Amino acid sequence: MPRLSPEEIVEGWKKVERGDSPPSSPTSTNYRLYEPLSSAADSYVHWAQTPHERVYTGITALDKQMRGIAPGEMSMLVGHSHGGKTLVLLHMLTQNRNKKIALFIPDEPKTLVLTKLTCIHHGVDANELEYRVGQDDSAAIQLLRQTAEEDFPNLAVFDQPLLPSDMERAYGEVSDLWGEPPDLVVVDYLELVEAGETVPAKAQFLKAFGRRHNIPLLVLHQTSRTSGADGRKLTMSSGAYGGEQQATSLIGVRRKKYEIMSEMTELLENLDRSHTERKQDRFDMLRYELKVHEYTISLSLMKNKRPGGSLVDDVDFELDINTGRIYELKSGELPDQYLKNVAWKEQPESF
Amino acid sequence: MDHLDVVEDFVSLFRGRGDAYGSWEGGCVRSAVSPQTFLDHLNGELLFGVYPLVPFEGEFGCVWGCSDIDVDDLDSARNLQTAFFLKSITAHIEKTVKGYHVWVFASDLVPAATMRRAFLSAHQAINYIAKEVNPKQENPGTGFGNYVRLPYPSELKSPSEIRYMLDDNDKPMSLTSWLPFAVQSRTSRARLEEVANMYVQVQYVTPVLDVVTESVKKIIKKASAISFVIWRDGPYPGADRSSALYKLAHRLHDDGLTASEAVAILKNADERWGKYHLRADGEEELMKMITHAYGATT
Repeated sequence: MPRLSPEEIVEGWKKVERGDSPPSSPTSTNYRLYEPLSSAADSYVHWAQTPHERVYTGITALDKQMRGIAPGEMSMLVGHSHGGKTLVLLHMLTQNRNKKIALFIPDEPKTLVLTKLTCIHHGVDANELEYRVGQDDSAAIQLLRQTAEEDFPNLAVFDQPLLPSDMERAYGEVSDLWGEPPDLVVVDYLELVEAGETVPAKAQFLKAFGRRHNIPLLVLHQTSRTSGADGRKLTMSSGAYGGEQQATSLIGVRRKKYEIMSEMTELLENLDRSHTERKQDRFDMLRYELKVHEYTISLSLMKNKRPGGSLVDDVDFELDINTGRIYELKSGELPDQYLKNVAWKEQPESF
Repeated sequence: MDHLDVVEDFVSLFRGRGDAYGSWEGGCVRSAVSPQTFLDHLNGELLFGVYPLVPFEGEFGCVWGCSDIDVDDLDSARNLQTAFFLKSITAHIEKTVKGYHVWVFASDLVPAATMRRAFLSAHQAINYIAKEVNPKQENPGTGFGNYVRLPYPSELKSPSEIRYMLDDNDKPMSLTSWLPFAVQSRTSRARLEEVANMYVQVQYVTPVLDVVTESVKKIIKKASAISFVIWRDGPYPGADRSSALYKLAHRLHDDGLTASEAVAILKNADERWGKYHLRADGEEELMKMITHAYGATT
């Protein structure tokens, strides 16, 4: 304990003389909210010594800076609708198959989740899987079952509406089923949570949910039309009506092809009005880039409250259009699918 | 001061039970304690501890009390000393191996309850839990109670490097410079009784335990991060296991766990730390901690 002044001890004696209740323990006080700052040291020690309790994205560049989502923390995956948020989420799930995960995803039936996971995890073409299941191919059906039962036995998917009471119930049920709380709760996506009128209120509810249960939380969040609709680079203010303030980290997901298409549309209108060589060159360049980025998806770390952690600028991934798998592209590397496409088209001329 | 004067004063301060003493290594030795025994301690020939309680006025009495602060927390020791000072009681601080002893000497035998409660009052005044106040019992029954190792081992051969009294500047005092001051500053029974009467006794009720079916691993997840760390890592280096168990019990209470859950956690921790689990009174000791954490009713 700290050294007390004689005046403080005199006060202490006065309390004893009055017969005030003595302390029940050296650390216990009647305070409910106040805790000495030193308790933060213990929390930090716990955090630093339990990296296994955190959940990682499986994306090296992000994990290096975020160092996982710890219990009680909320991370957000932000992007435009159809911009690849759920694909990135599914990729993360494949990287965390040993973790017990509760996924709340009201706008996507669990059959769709399972199908996508099967394609991503096993590298199966979605069209082929659908065709073979349609043909009652036992191997294809078995693959679906295997994905659910053997590959992702610790994944619980809830595709019902996201009422707070149902979330609590579902959380209780999986905790009971697994004999311990989930390692991660995922909500896809924030706007569908039926708690509070505004996005910040919904985010606040989720953050409180995560803290109350002391679990890591990953929340998908759709960006506003003005800032992210065209696949433009995401910023801290890209969250629709806020909500991102509650997050410990903010991961941006975008498809560069939408940004390129948007610029091409603008240029086309300009070219109609005044045709210049410079604009035409730019248009040709964009046509080339569009072919490349047809197969890419880009991730960035826009907010990172982890001390010593930095932000991460665009990291490009190749998106396998058929399976939904993503692969990190090294700097300057072109997507395989683009190269194959080019080679296939160019081959007849080269022979 | 010659050696005889030193021993005489030393005995007058630290005297206690005359038919048994505590060995330096731990354990009771049933043997007569005489001035020669004290001289042997100061000469380094027989280091020992004294049982404070002796029969007195139909009950038990003592001439000294000692609060053992078993961690390196000089500030708390000084706070306790100041609390006594404000009530005109002189307290002395001894540097021990792990922490500090705060001693108070009575000018004559006083009831054990008086000495003990005076210390407990002072602890309440500074809001610092009294974990090891000696005498630990007001009435030891048929036992001896607990002993406290004496300061200044081997001092007459060479200045003690451990277990010496501190001056106001936190510097070691030699036995010969400290003794006259200590003898002169002993406290009267009336003064001690006045302070002892201020003690507000806490009533504890043993909590009723439910059957716990959850695993310890599951229960500990309900606790706070610090409780988890204490449970997982045990005492800090140099800290004692009973203190860690005690602290854990209170933390679990503050975390909102039930007494039954806390018992399960404490038993699990104790099995790994090896404090009580092989002792016949092990469960009883753990329940005392739980009762203290969960059963205060004042």
